[in-house]
Amino acid sequence: MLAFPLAGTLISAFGYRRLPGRSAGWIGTGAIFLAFLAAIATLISLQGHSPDHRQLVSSLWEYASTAGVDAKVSILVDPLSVFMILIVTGVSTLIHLYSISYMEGDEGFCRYFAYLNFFVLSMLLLVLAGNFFLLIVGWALVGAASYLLISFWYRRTTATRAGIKAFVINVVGDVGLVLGTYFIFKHTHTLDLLKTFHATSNGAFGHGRTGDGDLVAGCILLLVGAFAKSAQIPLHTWLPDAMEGPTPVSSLIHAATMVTAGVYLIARMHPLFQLAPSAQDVGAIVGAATLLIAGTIGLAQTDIKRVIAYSTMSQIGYMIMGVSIGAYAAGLFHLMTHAFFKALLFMAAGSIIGAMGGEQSLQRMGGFRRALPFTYGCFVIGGLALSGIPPFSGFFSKDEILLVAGEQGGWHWALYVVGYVGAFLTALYTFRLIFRAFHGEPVAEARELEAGHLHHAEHPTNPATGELEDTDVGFPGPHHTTAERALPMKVAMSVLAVGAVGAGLVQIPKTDFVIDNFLKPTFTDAAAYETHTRNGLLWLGLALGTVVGLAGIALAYRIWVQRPAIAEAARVRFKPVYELFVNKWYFDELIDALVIKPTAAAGRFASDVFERRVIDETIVGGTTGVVRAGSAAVRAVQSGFVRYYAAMLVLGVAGVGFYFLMQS
Amino acid sequence: MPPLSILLWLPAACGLLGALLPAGAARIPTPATAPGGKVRRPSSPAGIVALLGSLAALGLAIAYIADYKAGGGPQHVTDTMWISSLGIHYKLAVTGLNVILLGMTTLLFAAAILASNVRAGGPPERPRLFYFQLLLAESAVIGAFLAQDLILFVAFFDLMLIPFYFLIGTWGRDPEGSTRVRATTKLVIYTLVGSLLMLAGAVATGVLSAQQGGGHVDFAFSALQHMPLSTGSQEWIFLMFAAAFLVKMPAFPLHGWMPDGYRAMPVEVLMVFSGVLSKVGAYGFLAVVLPLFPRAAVHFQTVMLLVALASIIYGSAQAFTQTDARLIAGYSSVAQLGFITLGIFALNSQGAQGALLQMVNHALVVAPLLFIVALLAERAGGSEDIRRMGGIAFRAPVLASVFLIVALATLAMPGSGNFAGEFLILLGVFKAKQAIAIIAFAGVVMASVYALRLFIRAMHNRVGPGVTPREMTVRDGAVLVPIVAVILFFALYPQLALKRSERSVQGAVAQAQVLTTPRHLSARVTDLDQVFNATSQE
Amino acid sequence: MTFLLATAHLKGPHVDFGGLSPLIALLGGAVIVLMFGLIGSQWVRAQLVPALSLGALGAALGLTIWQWGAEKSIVSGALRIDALSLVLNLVLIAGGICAVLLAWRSRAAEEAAHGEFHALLLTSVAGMSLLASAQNTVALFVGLELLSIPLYVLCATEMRREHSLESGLKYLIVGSVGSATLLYGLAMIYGATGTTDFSGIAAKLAAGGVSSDVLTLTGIALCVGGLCFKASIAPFHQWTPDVYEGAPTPVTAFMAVTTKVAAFGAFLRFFDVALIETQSSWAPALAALATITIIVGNVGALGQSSLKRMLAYSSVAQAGYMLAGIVVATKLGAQATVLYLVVYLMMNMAAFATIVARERATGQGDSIASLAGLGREHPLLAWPMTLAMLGLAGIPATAGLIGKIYLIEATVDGGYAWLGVVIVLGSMISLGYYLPVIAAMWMRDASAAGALPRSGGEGPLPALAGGSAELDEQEPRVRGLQLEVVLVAVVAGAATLFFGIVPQPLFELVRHTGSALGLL
Repeated sequence: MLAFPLAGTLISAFGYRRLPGRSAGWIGTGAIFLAFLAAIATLISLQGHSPDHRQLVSSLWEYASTAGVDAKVSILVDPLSVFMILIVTGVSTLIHLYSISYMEGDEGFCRYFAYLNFFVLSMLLLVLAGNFFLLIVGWALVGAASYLLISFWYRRTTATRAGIKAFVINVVGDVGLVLGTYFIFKHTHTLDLLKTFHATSNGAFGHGRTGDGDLVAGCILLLVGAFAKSAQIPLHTWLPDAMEGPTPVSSLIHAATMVTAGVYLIARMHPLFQLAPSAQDVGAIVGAATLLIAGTIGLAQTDIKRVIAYSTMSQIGYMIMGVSIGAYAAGLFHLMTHAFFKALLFMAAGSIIGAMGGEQSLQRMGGFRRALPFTYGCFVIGGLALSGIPPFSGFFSKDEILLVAGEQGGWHWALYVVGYVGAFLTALYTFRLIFRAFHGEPVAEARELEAGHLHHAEHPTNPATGELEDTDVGFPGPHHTTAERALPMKVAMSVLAVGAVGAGLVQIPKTDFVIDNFLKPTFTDAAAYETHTRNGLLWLGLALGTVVGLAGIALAYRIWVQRPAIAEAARVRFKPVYELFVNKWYFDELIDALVIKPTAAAGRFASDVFERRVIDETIVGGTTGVVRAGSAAVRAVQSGFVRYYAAMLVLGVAGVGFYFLMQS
Repeated sequence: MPPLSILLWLPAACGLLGALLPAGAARIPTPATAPGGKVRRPSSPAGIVALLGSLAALGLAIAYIADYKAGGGPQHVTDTMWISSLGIHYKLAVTGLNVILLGMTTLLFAAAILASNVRAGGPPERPRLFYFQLLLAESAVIGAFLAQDLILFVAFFDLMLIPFYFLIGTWGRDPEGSTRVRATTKLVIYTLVGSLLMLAGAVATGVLSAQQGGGHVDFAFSALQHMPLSTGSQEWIFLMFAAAFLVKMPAFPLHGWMPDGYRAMPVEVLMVFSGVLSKVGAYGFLAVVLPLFPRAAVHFQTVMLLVALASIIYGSAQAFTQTDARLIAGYSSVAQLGFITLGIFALNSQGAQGALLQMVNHALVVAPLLFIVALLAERAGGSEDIRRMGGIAFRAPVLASVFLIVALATLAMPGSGNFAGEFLILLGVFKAKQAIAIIAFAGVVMASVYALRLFIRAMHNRVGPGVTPREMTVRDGAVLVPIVAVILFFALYPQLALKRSERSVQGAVAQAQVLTTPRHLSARVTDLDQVFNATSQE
Repeated sequence: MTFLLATAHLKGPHVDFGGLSPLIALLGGAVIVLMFGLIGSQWVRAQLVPALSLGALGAALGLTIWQWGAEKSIVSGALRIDALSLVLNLVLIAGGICAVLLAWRSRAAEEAAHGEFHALLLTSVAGMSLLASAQNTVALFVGLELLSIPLYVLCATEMRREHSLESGLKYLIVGSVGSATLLYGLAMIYGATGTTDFSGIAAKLAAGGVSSDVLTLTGIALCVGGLCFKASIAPFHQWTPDVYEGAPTPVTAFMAVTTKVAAFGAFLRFFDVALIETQSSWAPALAALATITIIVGNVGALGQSSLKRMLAYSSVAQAGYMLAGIVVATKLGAQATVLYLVVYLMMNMAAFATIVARERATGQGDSIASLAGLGREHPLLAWPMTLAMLGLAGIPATAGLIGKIYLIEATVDGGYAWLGVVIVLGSMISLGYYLPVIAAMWMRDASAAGALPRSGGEGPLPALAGGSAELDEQEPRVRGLQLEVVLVAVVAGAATLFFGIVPQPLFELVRHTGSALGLL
């Protein structure tokens, strides 16, 4: 399975000069599709095993096994990893397909597919990894692939800056993961995942106790890794910036797959988290905070992709919250449905952006309903699913998470409430997006498109900096103005739309439990996995979800369609709050002031002051100075006059004589 | 397998042969023109002899790697008395500690010699002397790695600097604000200061252990290990060795020679200097200091870890504020060598294993990095300032890819061999001193900043003023691609190095490790003699 | 011993001509050379006389080797023929040979009418040889004077050059003070112990009673001063830079090496045999002096632009290293000192030969600038000079390192490990002046040499700089290489390298010198 994307990467990379036309795209898509088929084959063969034997480990070769460290290249196939690879390869195939059209004509077409295949390879490595070491490798390679794709149009300084930001924050996450691994390894003496879990249940951290210090530290550090990758507060700032990458990339990496790795990680490590409840609480609280904060920011942003990005953060907040409180199946279920509808939303957004000639600001959009009917349909489906309106997929998965939270009671009720507030916000910002982009007066571009031709900016500029785009490398804009015309795009979007509508049906409360049952072998030891649903709560949740979602849509309709003045009035009235939202709760500024500035200042201090004053002047200069002063002294004594020499001789003898006389 | 002396002296012999050949320049009257439009000096027979010699050495080293039996002790031992009156042996052996380093050394020297043969300006002036010095340096480095006698080690260690003195002083560059002669003198004095102290320490080791043991003075490692010194002697001697090795690496705050030195060196010389010579210091800690002065190593463990930590933080902080691409590489080396020191002074097998692996990895990345910097400078009008570079990836995709691989390996991207090394190092330190390991991770994050910054500023963003983007030539590729291939190989299979070194590394750290283990835990290995016996078989 | 003395009394004065033969060859050679020097023929003077001196030195060399392995006291116990004196003789004669070769076509020899020059040289060697084998205080002093007085004259042989004369005069005056000091010291020791014989003194001191006597101790102190003067130990070194610089370069080369050899020979015998019992009182003093010397010598050499001056300070520093071997007063220490003397000869001769060649070729005197571009121009000279500098600094693959290892080993072994560290610290500083010499040869172009100031940026032009500008202009420049000078340089340089790689023969050479110190 790993071989297909690898081959795709290599062919695209080495053939960048020779591959004709769009063949690199088809090769890349084909490779991923084959991987998808392989995933299905794995699924089938796994189902052939009895539920107790559905955790298969195969070691390929010794990687860095020495001195008690057992780092091997080993792969773990179990329901969880199969679930993940199905999503990853499935969605990836569609997005590759979409990209063939979207990226057509870009200068870096081959490069794009090489990177994209590389990303899928890394992601598969991540989810299939059978030990911590390989997990970290996959984890970081995913980050690297993400970096490459964010910085894809590397002549834009905004893109390179976003890329390095994403990379560095991901490295922070890697560090968390590595350190967490150390804390765990310290007690279990193995890097192998299953052996670690085995050792943990056999009391590597103390029998019957929960909350061992090292375990909690380890789990919290794992969470740091998860937060960085899944863009949870406060390590989320890279995700909105990552929208500098091509839109299909945002769709694949920053919505459907990579950012959900944190969710996967927590689910994968559940035997550890089960014993570290305080770490679980941290995860749940951060998830809840993220879903709320991201929702509020999403309300105020004007860049269409960034709104969706904040929405992604928010949704992943649900998932993190879910897996942190033990709602593993629900969290992963939401992960799956989210993959469908969020990828769909991004693709639809890409279609609009194409139509706008690269412009992403909501302020300048409007009235695309007639110009892009297909996109409009997709967007509405995605939006409804996102808002959790029955019977769309998001409805079931989100409610299931909140149901578990509500069931557990205690302070988890707070999570329950936050979840529904978040749901309201979700509906609100989603439909703000839809209403502003598709309703209202059609803008010039929309009218042009209705007339049958695409808009092209004469001198494309980077909206963020205003600098002229460098066309050597490609850039978002005229190259990508296929809108929704191309067949591959339509196919990809249709498939995802079907998923967004219907994916929820696999797990309808009281009716079927496909996901639950499938994942059960992985989570046999999870205490909260099977809960006895209280009917009242179930129906309350479903009703509440519907009502809240519809209320959000209604409010959005009222504000942005019926009475646009309300928005303006609210903005003036709640200026501080609005400012807070627009400025993304000042997280960037905070990180800048707390981390980046001090470090840079320290670096400058080191090179300008310390290096010069201490190293050069004090250590080097001091030593040579002393020696030189000695040299001068010696020379000063060396006057050239015999009388002084004789005097020195006499003095010397006197000195030596004095010494000897002291002895007597 | 041929005796080790052949590997040791082959480069020097080729250098001498090349030096004795008639000058080739006279025979080819019309100089060819380099791609850059500059006049290219014709390649010199001395250069070709040097290349052949270094490739032969590389071949031999690979043969030794293939032949090395993991788990065995020293192999292919050559042992004769050198100065019998002083008990100094001419004793060479391949051990788990040096076998991979030999491969790395010969590879980098071959690459550097190739680089000097193919670079745009043609081979350097006075090629016969140049290659003689370079190959003499190679022999000295190989000698330092192979030596199994303390004085022999010290002698090679000091000797290797002399050719570099000539190489830098004669063929160096005069960057703004410093002259090469001054920089060279500073470098040599700095590094020889430590080396000479080490000489005193080495002699004292032999004499004092003979006095304590009541036997004849014998400087062979195997003999010295049997006659451990008193703790007091170990401590002052340790400091002398540490001074030598830390300067050579260089470690903060003993890196004062580095900025000027790095800027003055011709690139092919810098490749080996930065790649190989710094490792001899680290190797010295592992192969000499830990086995011979275990008590002192334990005594100074915290100090050394703090020095290493300071190097990491300081080097990293410098690397992301510097704008001179060479100095970024230089300070990153300070940081990376800090990691290596950290691993060694974790005083356990994981740390030491990681350190050894990282020595190879760092050499493999820093050499191509520096070569790439030179290529970038060629495209940026000769400037090595990253502010004047930029945007050449599009016209040079292959160079960009190679650079990217190297940059990612430099920042120890998981999946690279460097990560495997760093993982083991930090794991070792984590076991030894948890807090230090956690702080050291700051260096990991910082590495990602400076490595990517270098890559982006050179390759991405807008095309810099005065930059002429163009792809690297096939000749440049011949230098870079083999090294990158080795990087990729180690990314997939670092076990190659680890498997061979495992036993020897355990032997090297065994005594120190026992001393650091809390008493109740060391009940199983209470008998120190057992450990001594085990290590002396290594 | 007493038996020997007794038989001597019985049989009357017995002259062991075998033992004396090297001395006789040297002194006889001096007479013959002096005579031939009176012959008017230019050819005889300029060619035959040096050849005859070489012959005399060669004869002495042969006779010394003939005596190899002998262990005997001669001249009523005044002189000792043993491994120590034979090895030192060898070094002295080798130094003499080099000096003759370097002086062959020098102005100094010419102005001193050749015959006188060479005769003085031979006499001085004889004096040194005497000193190195002296076994009683009288012979010691006679040797000292015999070596010094010709040297005073030799320094002044470039009679038309002011600095040469000044150098000779200075050496004479200060040297006399030094000799007088030594003489007083010897007299006091005689007064305290009642004997001039070294073994007698040792026996007396061992018997106790006098070893902490004021007279003895004052005597020792004065002897330390006197010998230190000859060996250029700080703070008795001050004549060294001025005299070395002012003297004609071949003479400088000669005295730089041979006076050290003779002085350390005397040191070894006097302190490590006669005064061995009082080692505990003089060793710390000498150790302190060694330290001061190492520091002063190395620090003083920094920034000197005159090579001879630089080498003068360097010789001070080297004397400090060698003194460390005396301090420990062990067999090992004695061997280390002798071994270092041997390598010191090679390194210095290589360096001075190069200076001689450059002085004659460039007209820039002995300035470092005269070496610029030498590496490209005359590798045959540049390599020996390079090796010499590396050797003096103690870099591997040169005999200098071996010498240092041995010295450090001796200090550590003798309980003076810190002195070993001081030696090493001194070597570090020394890189600061040895390396620029190498840099000048290899890293600067000859064209740039003219631009270099005659004196470096550091300090004023030394008041006593060698070679005044006018005279240098008059002297015809030598184009090409003078064979005998190159020969000295190459042989000495090659030896430095060879014994750096294969040092065992050196150890064989000095192996018995330690055992010569009977009481140790």
